[in-house]
Amino acid sequence: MDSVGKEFFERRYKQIGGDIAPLELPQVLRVNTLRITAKELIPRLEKKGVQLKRLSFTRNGFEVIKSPFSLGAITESLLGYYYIQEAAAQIPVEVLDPKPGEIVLDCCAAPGGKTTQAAAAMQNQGTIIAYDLKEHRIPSLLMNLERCGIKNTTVFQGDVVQAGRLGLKFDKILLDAPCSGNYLSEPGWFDKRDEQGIESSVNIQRRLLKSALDFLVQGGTLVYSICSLEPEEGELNMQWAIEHLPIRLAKVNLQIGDSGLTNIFGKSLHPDVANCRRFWPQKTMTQGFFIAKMVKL
Amino acid sequence: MNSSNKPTLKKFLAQFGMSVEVPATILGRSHFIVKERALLSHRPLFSGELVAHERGDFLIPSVDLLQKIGKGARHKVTVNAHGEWLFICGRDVFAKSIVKHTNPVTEDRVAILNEEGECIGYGQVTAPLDTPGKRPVIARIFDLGDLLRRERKSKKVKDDKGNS
Repeated sequence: MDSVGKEFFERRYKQIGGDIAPLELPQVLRVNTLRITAKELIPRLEKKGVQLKRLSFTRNGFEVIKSPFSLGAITESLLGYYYIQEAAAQIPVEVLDPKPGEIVLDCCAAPGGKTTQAAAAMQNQGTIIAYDLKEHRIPSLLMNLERCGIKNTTVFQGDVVQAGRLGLKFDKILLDAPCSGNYLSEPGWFDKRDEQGIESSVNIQRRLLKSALDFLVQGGTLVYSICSLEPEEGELNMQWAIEHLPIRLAKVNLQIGDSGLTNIFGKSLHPDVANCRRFWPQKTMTQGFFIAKMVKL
Repeated sequence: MNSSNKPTLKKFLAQFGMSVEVPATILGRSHFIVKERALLSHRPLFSGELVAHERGDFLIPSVDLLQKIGKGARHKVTVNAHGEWLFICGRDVFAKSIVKHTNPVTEDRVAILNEEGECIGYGQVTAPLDTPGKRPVIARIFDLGDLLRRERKSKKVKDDKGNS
């Protein structure tokens, strides 16, 4: 792979109003309301020396200000009272807003942060069908479903295109798509990415989007999210979706993030692309992220 | 293991003095209470409420079943915070960690609770619970930390296969 390096990304982000900020992201947890309330959990963790601060832009997210030990291995974690989940990653399910009794498809479910969050929002009622293609990611998904007390979910290993054989139509679909990631998501990220890699992600994302929409009821909602800052995987994919798929882009109502870009590298996009939300890390203090909400026509 | 030797939930729960019928369906090596039965023909890996996993000739409980054991077991032993930490790390129980119990005797199977009343695993009494000294009085059989160890082990197996 011919990596293109930090300068390449710095230049392209500057062209679209962004920047590269060497941030250290705080650890964030989400209270699993199927098991416990925040009111019960916080004093319990405080007694152990854990200091938390509520995140203003999520329903059940708390930033870890201080912890004398690893929060992943204590009893409260093993009992599924919380899930360690990055702040931006908590937002797609909040935008999808699954309700008790609905039928929901989670297209790329492992390791289960968003699946368990959706099940909690649905109060373990209704049905979630969760797919993940990669075998090595399945044990974490199953472990997290068990830990969090999830009872309304059925898991399949495979490509979500296979969901057609189930004969179901879904009220809501979450497509947290495989993507290039962002420079805060892994060390040495700049040296591992190139334009071919981005193009390959775009091809996968478009294929998944097209397939997932086949399973959505008319008028149903699909939330598309990626932890990538690359406009090809975000706004330009949404432009493609408007042109090729039976959807409209609904407004993502959030206090955090910027409107989707409608002019990229000199190309003007459909004005509805501004309904999406783009998270530049230096502005949101989260990882890089992009969220779109589609309604099937 | 042939099907007649398969561990059953009924036998598993009986060791805690519990008599409960669980209408479980086996998917792979795990037992579930399945709600979406129509999906079973598509061979899911997980469906509905997880009850237990098979491990060799034994069953190990899900986190939810473990809490039911904590409520329904004939014998319970509550340990302090230090004992709790050691136990979920896979260690046995020492007399000095015990804060209360239901008077089990040697060889009884006991649910181990923390001071919040949550079940963190179970073990077998190996010596009178007031035995002082460095010898454990309850041998750990299963603890909640198994969840993490199971996940790490599965990751290691995949890594060893070179397909992480």
